[in-house]
Amino acid sequence: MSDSGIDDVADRLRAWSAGRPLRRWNTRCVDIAEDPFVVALVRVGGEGRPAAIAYGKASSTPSVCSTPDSREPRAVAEMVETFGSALLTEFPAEEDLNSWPQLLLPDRSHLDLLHQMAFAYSFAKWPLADMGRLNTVGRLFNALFLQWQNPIQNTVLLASDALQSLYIFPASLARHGHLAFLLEWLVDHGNRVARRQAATRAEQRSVSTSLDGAFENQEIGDRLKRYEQSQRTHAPTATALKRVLEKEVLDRWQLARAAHQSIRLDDRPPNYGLRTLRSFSQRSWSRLWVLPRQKELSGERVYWRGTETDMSAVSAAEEMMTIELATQLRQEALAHGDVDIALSLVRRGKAVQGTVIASHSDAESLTVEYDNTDEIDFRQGTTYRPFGTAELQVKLVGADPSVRVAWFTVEKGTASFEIGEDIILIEYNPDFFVMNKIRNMSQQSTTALGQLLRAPLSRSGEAAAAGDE
Amino acid sequence: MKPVGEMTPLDELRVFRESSLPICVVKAPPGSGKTQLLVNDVPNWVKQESPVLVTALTNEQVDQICKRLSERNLGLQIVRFTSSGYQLRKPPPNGVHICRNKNEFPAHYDVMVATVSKLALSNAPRTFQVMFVDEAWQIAFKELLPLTRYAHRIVMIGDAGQIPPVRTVPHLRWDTAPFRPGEAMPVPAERLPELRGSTKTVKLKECRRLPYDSVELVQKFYPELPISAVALPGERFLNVANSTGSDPLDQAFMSLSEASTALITIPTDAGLGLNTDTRLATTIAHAAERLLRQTARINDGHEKDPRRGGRPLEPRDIGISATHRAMNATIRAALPQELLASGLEVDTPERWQGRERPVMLIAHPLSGIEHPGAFDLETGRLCVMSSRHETALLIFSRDHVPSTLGSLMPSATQSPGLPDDIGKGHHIHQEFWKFHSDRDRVFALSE
Repeated sequence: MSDSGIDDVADRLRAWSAGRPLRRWNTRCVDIAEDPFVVALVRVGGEGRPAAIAYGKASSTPSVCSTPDSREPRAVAEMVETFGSALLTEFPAEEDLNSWPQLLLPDRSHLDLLHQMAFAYSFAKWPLADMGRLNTVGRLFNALFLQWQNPIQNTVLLASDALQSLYIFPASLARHGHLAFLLEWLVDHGNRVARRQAATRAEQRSVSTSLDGAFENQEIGDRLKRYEQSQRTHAPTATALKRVLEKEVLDRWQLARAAHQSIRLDDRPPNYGLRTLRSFSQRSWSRLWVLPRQKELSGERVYWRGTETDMSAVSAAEEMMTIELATQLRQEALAHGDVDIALSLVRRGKAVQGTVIASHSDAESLTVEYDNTDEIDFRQGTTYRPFGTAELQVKLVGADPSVRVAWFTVEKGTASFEIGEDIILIEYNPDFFVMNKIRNMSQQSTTALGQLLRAPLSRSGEAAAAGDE
Repeated sequence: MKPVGEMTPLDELRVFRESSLPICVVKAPPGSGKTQLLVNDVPNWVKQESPVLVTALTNEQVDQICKRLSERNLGLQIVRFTSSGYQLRKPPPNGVHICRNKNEFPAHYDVMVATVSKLALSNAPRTFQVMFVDEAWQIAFKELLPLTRYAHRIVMIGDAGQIPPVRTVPHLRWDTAPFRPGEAMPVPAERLPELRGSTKTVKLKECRRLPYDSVELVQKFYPELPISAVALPGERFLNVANSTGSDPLDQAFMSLSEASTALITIPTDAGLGLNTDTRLATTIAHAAERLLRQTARINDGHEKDPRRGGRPLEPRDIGISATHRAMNATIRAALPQELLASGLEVDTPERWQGRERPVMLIAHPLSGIEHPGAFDLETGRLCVMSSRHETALLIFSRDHVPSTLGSLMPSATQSPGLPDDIGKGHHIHQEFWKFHSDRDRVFALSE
């Protein structure tokens, strides 16, 4: 087990001892919108498409649509198109720096089903006569799925993940994906035993996109057989099926909304790093959805990202570099906004904690006696920023572990440290290196080698213009 | 000896040079003279008028290439293209011009040498006929793409058994992509049918660095690349003069006059699961100190009569490696500072790649790990750590490793179409330990 894994076990044991979930960090590290668009999905059996969808703003009554038999492609496509139209309105091809659209899903299974719907509809040529709108909806699903993979984004939020970011729950990690289980732990039922019993009861019911097996057999199985035998014409059976499915999907929608309310009621100040990350999130969303959609609407040829993987060498490399950069930026931004997070980086050797023992503004140097409890393996040339500052950068010149002293030079900004001042220096990796690399990679290459590695392979097909697939 | 009629690696590179193929992949085991092959072949391309580009991952590797090209004394005009912040440790070798931006480039030059990162971040001053990449398996494929602006052809030289490029983010999305951005740079050229026809593969087979019996051990990491040793049996060994065999560590030292590797275990107790194993760190530091104190002598194969004992072992002859930075820091703290000041080095396997020492002491990467996962079973680190020595290798570990491996049933979690690296790693780790236990080269230290 890694040191961070041990920290996690210790945290959960502390929560167990307290008999309730404990707050993770001093600040709120989840950027939740005031009124996100909440979506819940339900599927039947092993179908890769939904049988019922609930959607709408957290502040309003949700819309619900369903189909009695999700094995019937046309009915499902029509339902998805109706839902997709509302989603397209919520995620327009416009950039708005003051507000941002946010999709709130109950848990990971909903995201997976969204991805399966992207597979099904992004480039499909059937089952509707006019697939134009459904293709657009499919690509929006895919853009949302891809955006979620970027650690810096705030466009797609999973309620169960958000709660785990805010609290340490006294339970095994395998149970952390169950939204109702997490929410019951947060309700003040009394002592640990009472909270645990309530959470365990809540856990008995399925809240993922799949229905509980026994429930599905009892409420859906026979009805569905009868409906099929009637050549899908028996209206009372269809109504009964839809009633069951719509109740189930509404339950899941309500859970996601309850999670939203719980997060909004959290009285911790938001981590100010979130503001920095918000602009990166918007940039990423623009690249994935807003700009391609604008181009498409103006009749230009568009490169839509693949639903399975990135077939082009350049787009795969660009995306991986972008996510690497985002991971790093997120860690740095949040650490500068919360001393607890900064101290967790100290424990992982990604930050230096100590006392200033010499500082010369003329020579622009800084000497720190460090007190990291674990041995730290300093690398000469590493750049750091003092906790909470964005303008000052110092570079490690050397360190002497025998006396636990490290020397730095000021690389950017003006240093004004006092002798005896406590200091935390957080590793800093400038983002312009990666940005330049991505820009240079995206340039057209005229060399034979460049053309060989950039040529689409025979299996390629994702990069076609809209409607080509 | 090379069979009559068999082409040397340089001959094979000549065939590539005279062909129109755009890609050449040179696969080599550790210590087989990869960089020397590069240094020998570059001048052959310079004769063809337009300059040659040479690149590698780190500044140290690039400086080393400049030095070795300069030492060949062929009158080559070499440009070392570097960032403004990089401080060279020594004055540049003869014929090497340091250029920090494009305006400083001379009107004529034969070879430009720069790190991958420098080239990726800069704009091309010109296009080159060919780009050599040293230690190409250390570099991710995504890093190659910004470099394709520079050259029409590429020669990628490296060691396929070493540490794969670090992936810091989940890579599942690209597991089924034709060009996986996180895999080693040369891999797509070998894997993709579309590129295979444009690629020439050259294999180096002779290992110059390792003692004869160590090649047999290291061969386990290269099931598809037969390796032969240049060293003869019994040619290189460590002679610990004051050994009496009084304790297991002493017995391990004594065994190094007959074989080049020994595995030393300490009992498994509390402390499992931590990145820093203080007791193992102290044992390694103590062993290094004791080797020097017991006036160990190295026979590196140059002594005509091996029984005469070779030259004395010095701190700068010893290298120490552990996989975690914190563990290395703990080993350093446990060593007498004068040994570190005299050149004994402690570092991660990543930093030891491409380097060598007469004697290496290593912490086994699975030591202290109760439930090895995919990362732990990856064999690149152990391969690097086990192939840096010219004379002797001492491996230190907690004694639970064989039983941990024996009771482990690795799961094949790779995406469809990908090789079972976890299963392969599990097998190689078991073979590595068995190699030592079969030959009575495991020495158990008590409390």
